[in-house]
Amino acid sequence: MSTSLVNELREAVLSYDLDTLVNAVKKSLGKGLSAVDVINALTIVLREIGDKFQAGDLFLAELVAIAENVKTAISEVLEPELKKIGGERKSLGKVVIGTVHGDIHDIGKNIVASMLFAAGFEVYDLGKDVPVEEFIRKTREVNADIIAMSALLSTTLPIQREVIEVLGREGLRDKVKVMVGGAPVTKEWAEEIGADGYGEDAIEAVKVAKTLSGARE
Amino acid sequence: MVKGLTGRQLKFLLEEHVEKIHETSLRILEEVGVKSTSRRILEVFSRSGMDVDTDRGIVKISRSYVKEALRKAPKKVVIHGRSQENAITLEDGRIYFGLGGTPTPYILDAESGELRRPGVRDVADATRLGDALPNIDFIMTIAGAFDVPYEAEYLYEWKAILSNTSKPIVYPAPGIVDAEKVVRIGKAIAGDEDSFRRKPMFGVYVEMPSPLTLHDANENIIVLAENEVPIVIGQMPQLGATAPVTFAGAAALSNAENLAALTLTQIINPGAPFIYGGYVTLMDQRTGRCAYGSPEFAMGNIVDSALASYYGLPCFGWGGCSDSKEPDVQAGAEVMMNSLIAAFSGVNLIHDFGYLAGGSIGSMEMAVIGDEVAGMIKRILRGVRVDDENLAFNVVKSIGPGGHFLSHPHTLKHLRDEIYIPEIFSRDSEAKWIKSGKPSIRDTVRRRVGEILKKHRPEPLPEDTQRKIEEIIRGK
Repeated sequence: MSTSLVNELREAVLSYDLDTLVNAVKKSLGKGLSAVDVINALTIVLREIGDKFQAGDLFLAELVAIAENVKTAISEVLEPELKKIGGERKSLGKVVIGTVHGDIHDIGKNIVASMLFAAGFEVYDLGKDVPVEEFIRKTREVNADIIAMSALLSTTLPIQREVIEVLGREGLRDKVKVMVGGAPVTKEWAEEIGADGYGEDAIEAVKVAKTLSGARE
Repeated sequence: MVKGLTGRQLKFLLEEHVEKIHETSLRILEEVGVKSTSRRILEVFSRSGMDVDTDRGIVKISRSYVKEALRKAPKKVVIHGRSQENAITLEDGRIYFGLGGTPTPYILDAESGELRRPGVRDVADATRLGDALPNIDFIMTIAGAFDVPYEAEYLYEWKAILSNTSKPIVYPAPGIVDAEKVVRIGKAIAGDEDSFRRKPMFGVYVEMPSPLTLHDANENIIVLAENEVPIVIGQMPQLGATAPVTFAGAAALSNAENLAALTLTQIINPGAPFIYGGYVTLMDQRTGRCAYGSPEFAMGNIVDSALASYYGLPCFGWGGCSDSKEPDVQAGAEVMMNSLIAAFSGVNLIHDFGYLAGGSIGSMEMAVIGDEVAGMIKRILRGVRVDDENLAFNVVKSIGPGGHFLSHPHTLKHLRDEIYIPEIFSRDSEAKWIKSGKPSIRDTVRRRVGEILKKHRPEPLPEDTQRKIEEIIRGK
């Protein structure tokens, strides 16, 4: 991996400006670098960004802006480029994500969804107030590797358990990993309801998803 | 009747700034509008002749409707509690402190010091504690009923709270079903519909999701306004997350949301009691959690009160809460900061006492510490009385130079009114402290929690009323 490519992309990412990033990506492609190289370089930058966030040097608003910009640059510039040469972006796995039924607190979920996409997952975002059956239906439809659920309220946390129970009844529990998140969610809660993973924040969530899907860092 | 002390001595906003915020809110309502996922709510707006886009669920509210609603809404709201002596009058900067807020997923067990999931019993105990604490004027909660089916969680919390205090209550009842049941419970306790309407023993806390949304759960506003139950709005726009990061912008947004909810209530039932909650809060930029101990969270009270006072509406704010995970130095500093700011802003209902970890942990110890803080603040607000009796010239004259005032009748007469004597904060000498094993404030507080829970028996609900409540909860 060329250090100058990583440096240029880092600078563009840290401008928090979509046009700047898209131009930097296009410039790299113009120089003859492959879309795969650019995506790999962006992955390195994102890992650094994650470390900075976890060290407390980068703030959420900045992280979200970066995740959204990288997501757009990948889906609108790099993926079409890959398609042109008959390739596609290497997927780390399929994630069905949503905020559970009765809950509309979805900011955290949106951040996790963007970070998962930017990290290389195929993300199916069901939005907020998602009925139990919808998680199940979508998981079947796309043959998901991971279901990720968020909840904020004491009255909606139990829905996370319900989804896991229904997965069991439908014979899907062994086929899909389950991640849970949300302000009141803890490692203990995840264990209690039989979830496979829990991340304290969006960066942690990406790490957990990678572990669950068997992807290497 | 508890005569709340008058706060509203702190003014950060100039009148012209309040007017600018107001004007921006009106523009938001007229040009951006409010979105609702609820057909029922959209129908109410539509029937009143407003510009409703049913496909997108957007209603644009013109200023004439807002003005009309402001004219109709009562300037004074009384929440009575089960016993008249505890009634609180929300008007003109009078302040009252409240235990907790909405249910917490964890409780810090005062006995074991461990975090655990709370149950109905904890909600009942927390309520009894709040009922006993002298500076707590109304009750929400610092626990949650995790041991009942979650569909009925709020209703069982209502039952536990209503059964364990005669102080005024403010609590959530989201959606039509819970709201209707809670209204029926209120009528069962009051004895009949008319008594409940005249003297509601509780208000219902309604959270509107920011920005500018009335969710299906907010359909409870329709039932509550029809039944004249005081509606307490708390929509919690968070700086930089669900609101602009700049305070003025968040205030204008929050105010627009309040005016939308107010307008809805006054269309449904002109004169329905409405308590303004211009709840500007903050999403922490490192953790994404709502930062209850932040200076911005405390400042929200200033804007809240300034706008409510501009409209002459009673208001709801927050204090006595912290982001710390246990009763420690951070918790003490944050609690004093936010409750003092709230009180001096003249916010009528100051809730959240006993909240730790940004509302994720309820702590009885912290509630007791908060009660002490509330007592100190009430003392400060009582201020300095200046009249002949208080100037005490004749007392000075009778003692003369070189004497002392310790046993003078004037001292004995005014002692307990004039000086705040702490319940738990220690003023012992270092020698006595060392001799008694260097107890920490938490040792003292835990003992007090234990004593109150052992001894305090609130006025019980009659057995047949309890039975009726259970029937209402279980029924359709």
